[in-house]
Amino acid sequence: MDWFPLINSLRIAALATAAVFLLGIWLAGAVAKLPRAWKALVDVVLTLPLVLPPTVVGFLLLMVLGPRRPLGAWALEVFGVRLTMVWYAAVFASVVVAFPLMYRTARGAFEGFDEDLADAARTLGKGEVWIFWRVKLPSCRTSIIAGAVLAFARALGEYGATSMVAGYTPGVTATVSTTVYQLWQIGNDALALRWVLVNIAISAVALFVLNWLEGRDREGRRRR
Amino acid sequence: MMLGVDIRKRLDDFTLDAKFTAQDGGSVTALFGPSGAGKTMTLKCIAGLLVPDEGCITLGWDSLYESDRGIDVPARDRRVGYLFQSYALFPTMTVEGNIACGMRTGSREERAERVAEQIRAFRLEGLEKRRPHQLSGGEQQRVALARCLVNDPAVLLLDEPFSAIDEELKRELEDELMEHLAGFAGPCILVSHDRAEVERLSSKIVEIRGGHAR
Repeated sequence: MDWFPLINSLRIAALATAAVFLLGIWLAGAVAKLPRAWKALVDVVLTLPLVLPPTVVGFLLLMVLGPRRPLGAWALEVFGVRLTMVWYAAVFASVVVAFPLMYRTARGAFEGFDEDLADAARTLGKGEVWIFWRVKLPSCRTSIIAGAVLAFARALGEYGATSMVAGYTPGVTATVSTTVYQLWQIGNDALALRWVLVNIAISAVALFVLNWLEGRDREGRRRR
Repeated sequence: MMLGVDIRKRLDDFTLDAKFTAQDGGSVTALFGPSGAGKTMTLKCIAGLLVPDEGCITLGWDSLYESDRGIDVPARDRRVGYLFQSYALFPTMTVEGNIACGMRTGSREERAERVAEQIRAFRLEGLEKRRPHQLSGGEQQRVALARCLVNDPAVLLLDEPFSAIDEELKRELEDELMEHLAGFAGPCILVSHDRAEVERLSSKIVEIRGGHAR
């Protein structure tokens, strides 16, 4: 069994989770500060990938990243790299699809944050940056880690948009999910089933971690 | 240094109009009134956590806020100690860590020494490594007060310090609080809705009703 699809899936999901982690926290904080009317609109746009069909996300990504499209042409000209049909193209797809999970979890955590804690820090002479890193983020830690785990699980399961922007090239862009589809199409059900089991195992572990985190968080709240 | 408050702030369904002074020299000024009267809002304006629409807040000869001259000193530079009703201890930090947050200056050794001093003064020995949720209400209050005072504030604001405390313990904690405040020379404002408490603890009572304080 060639393990490339697993390694490729894991590196894509890891990179996408790292990007989504930072983007989600940053935008959750930024959106909370917007005026109400703008907040509603921006919130819808940022959550949309959660409910859109992956093919729509893939289509929109191709419109931007394709070699003859604005961003794709720019990257090709300046850096000489293609943004589609390469393994890291799947990172873009996974980021867009997994982003709403991280964003909404972080937003929920920030909304539940006790502003008195930030005010107390202000009266003690602390600046906003210190407050964010030392008080706000640690207080919301469990929810934010849970959001990242959920985003990782979703990124790992990405198929639709990925197959459109990265395609399926064995040993180059193949992921676990695209490999399962390919093997099923050529009738290699035995090998497809093995990849299916690998995928189920990883996703189940991610969900166990998620449940454990949430259980721990509830216990922490009860003791408070 | 005397604290002078003369501010107005309009909200949709509430107008705050507060004008009073608080003397220093170890006297406590009570801001007394029912809940929803604007007590906490007044404290937040003094601390710089809320901005009034107009008026001024002065400390001695200095303006903390003055709408006419466009002065609005940020909360972090006001040196106003604020004891929150919920104590607002940082939940992920230990007792020591919380108190150390109040330190503005000093080397690592000096800070550690000051924190240790505060731990002794507030009878928190043995609790240094605990987190806030592992403390009783009285202990939490002592940590919050130690954190406020180690910051060397020029003004002290106490927001309903006994509302979360059982009735039987209240008198004991009142005595204890006054003991800890004995060394504090600046103006101190106590917010409360309990007339007996206010009469026991303060030397001046300012009544606040429906946002109106005189």
